[in-house]
Amino acid sequence: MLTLDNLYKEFKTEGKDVRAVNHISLNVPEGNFFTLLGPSGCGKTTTLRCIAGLERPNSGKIILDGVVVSNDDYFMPPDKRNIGMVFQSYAIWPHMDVFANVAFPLKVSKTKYTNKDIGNRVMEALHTVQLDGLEKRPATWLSGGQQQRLALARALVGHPKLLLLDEPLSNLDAILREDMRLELRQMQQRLGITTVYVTHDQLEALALSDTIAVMNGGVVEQLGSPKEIYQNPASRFIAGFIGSTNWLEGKVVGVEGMVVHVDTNIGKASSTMSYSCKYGDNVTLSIRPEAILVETSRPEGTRYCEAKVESVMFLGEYIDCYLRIGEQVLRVKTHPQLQIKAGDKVYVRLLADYCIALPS
Amino acid sequence: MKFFSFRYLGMLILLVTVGYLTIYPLGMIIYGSFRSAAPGLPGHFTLSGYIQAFSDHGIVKALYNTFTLSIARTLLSSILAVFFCWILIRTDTPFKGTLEVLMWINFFIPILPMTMGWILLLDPSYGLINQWLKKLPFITGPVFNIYSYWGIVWAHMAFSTSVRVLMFAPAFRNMDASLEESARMSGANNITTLIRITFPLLMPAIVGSTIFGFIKSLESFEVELLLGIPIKFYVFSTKLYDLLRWEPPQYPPAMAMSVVFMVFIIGMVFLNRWIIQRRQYTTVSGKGYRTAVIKLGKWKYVTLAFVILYAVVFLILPASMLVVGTFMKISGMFLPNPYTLEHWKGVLSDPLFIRSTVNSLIVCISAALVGMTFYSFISYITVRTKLSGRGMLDFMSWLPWAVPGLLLAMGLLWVFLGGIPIFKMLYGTIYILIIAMVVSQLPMGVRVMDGTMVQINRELEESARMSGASWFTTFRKIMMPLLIPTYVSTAVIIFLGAIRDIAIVVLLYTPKSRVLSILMLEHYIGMSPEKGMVVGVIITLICIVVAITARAVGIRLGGMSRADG
Repeated sequence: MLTLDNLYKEFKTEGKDVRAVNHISLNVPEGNFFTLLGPSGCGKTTTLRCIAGLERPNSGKIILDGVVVSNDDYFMPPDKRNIGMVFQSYAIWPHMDVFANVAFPLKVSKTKYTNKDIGNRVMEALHTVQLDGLEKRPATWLSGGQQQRLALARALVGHPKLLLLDEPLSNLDAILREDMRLELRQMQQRLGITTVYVTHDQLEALALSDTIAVMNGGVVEQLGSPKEIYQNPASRFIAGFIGSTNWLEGKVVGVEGMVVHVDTNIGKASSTMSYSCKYGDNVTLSIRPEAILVETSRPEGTRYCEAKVESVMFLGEYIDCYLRIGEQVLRVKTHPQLQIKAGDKVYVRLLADYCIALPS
Repeated sequence: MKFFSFRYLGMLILLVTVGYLTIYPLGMIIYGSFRSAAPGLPGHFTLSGYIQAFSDHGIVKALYNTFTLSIARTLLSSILAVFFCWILIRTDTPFKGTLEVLMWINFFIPILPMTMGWILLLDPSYGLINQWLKKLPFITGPVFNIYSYWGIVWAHMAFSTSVRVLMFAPAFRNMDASLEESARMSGANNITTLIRITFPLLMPAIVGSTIFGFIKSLESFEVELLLGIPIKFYVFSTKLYDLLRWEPPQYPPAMAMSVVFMVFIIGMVFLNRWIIQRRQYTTVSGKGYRTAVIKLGKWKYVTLAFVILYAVVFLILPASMLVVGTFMKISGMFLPNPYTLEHWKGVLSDPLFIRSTVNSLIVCISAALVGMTFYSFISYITVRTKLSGRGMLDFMSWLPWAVPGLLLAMGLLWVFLGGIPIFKMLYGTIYILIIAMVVSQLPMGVRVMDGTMVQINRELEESARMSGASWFTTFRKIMMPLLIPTYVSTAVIIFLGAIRDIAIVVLLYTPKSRVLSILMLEHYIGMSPEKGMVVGVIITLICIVVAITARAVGIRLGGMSRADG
């Protein structure tokens, strides 16, 4: 549905050239919820704006639904691309009411719509986002969440082939954000519209997407489903960026088929998820806080090591604690029934299946 | 670019147009200073213009006078303005609101009519105050003489002070009260806090505005025309005017003098920027600062008295004298039965007056409408696009600000006479006046538009593009509606600046295109000063009515027009 081929965009600021989008190629299938995820400055918004036509790439090709909209000789302006876009600030026009805002794309389009058509389609769009009944209201009288829906309705009213969303949930409060996340996902699946979503919030990306492209410094570091990215991060950056994690430095002391044994400063750890390590390699183990088992009495077997509880936070759904083993401090999220307090001695085990060995 | 684009064509047209109206006039002046005759006439390159300019004592003296006058005016009005700002914004002086309105109104009152009022009061032979004082036993001669260096300073005082007040006010308003409060907590009383904390913190903003005002005051023309010429006290503008009124006009020394003057001004502009950049005082902290009001106790009646005294002396006195003067047979002479309506009747029934009023309205309204549209394009391009060439556009949009009104008019005159034939046809018509007004107010107008342009979130435009609207449709349906308040306030400011302008029109008008301000001058300097005063009162009334209506309707008029400082 959407293909980016070797897309390159740089900006010139004083002295330095910033390579915002550094030769990116990717393909978004039809109906896919595709997220560009990364920290500020990684190039995700610039990529989105290139797709939209709000920035002109220096080189590379963009093909939308079989039509080349941008390459070295040709640039289709944004108003001709039939793309719906929701901006971070919603960009609701303050001098129009709700109806006029949503009707705008139909009023300015090349196809002539009768007033009746426009009325029907606007009401349909408002219904999709659950803003029925508010047509006459001045746009500035809407709450944040309502404005966001309005922006969505306006983006969808023209039945676009592609929907672009630029961090649309970042201006909402936490509870509203969660609700909208769910609604957004359900709506997208219902309509089956190809969607490209930009965010720096990894939780959002994991919750909403069919495919995530993790970006850093203008390149796509990893492309995959949320589960793949979360469980098999391809680099230290990705592992750190997607959810919190613990880092253990170590050296490979044994390789048995899929299993890699690593000697770390807290003892021997094993990993079944590794990236072609060899004996003697320096690796960094990434282990998620929720993948560490904690027991208050020493269990059988040698797979546990001793730790001292440094701090505990009871967060209702889980316990967030820091456990010290010698020089190393591990952050652990464990079930809320565990009775521990600072100073206690506990026993931890790292689950090999969730321990990822990354090259140092 | 790889393909032809309307954007670039539009940019080119705009650059050429603005350049033609800003750089070309300046170029002509510089060129003319090195020629033996006026541009367009046969002549040769020579430095005789410069030699004449500096061997003729008149010119050097005129330049000297200009600077000393501006220094005195600027210093005095700045000191007063600081006091007023402090009183009106930071203390609990009663009736602050009314006083602030008076200050604000003062800004819109044309200065020439007020000067006429002062002449009625302080003329050495006929001035009312002098006559009353003569009645005292120990007074033998006239006490005050408005036709003097200090007379000129005095006449400027009211207007200059209110301009400064408007310029300093934001700095005063934005001061974080806790800075002063901590001084009080440390044991300083009101006066000490004022001197050691408040004023030093405000220095950068004040200094910047003051230098700006100083530069603008150098171009002053009308008051010096009335008060300086009779005593052969010339400043730059009046000297320039004088040289151009010779038969034949003395272009070379006039141009040479202008070039030298402009060099000074540009030097001051750079000095100003250098000073502003040197110090960084942040008196506005991030979140939650308050502007607290200092309680003066009994002293607030003193400050109130001070402000009232100022208002009476500088505003009410000359204004009422002016108005009264228009109803007297010979203004200033309290003969038996002195009052009459004949001057008013004479003016209002005069077809010349009708013609001039019509011309004024056409010129000023057209300038306002053309100006606001033109300025919005320039502002949009420099602020909201990334088109190459906008840096040049921005630079050119600043140029007219550094050029004294009279000089700008002269430069434009030559552009019109010497250039494209279409413009030659416009010479002597009101169209030239309109163009000149639009050019002279360009720097101010673009800045006023800039203020709002930057505030409109660009995503409002982008979402329109994404919704399928072309650039032009977006500008029409999204930008323009959002800019309406700014369009209106810019138009009002342009109108008010244009209707009382004399420096620009005095070189460009002909009997066909005479406007009200020129009529006023012609009457006053010519056969009937009383009629001149009547026209002056009428112009003042127009300004006051427009300003008050705009304010009542909610239009913000905080910007400065092209006014002498």
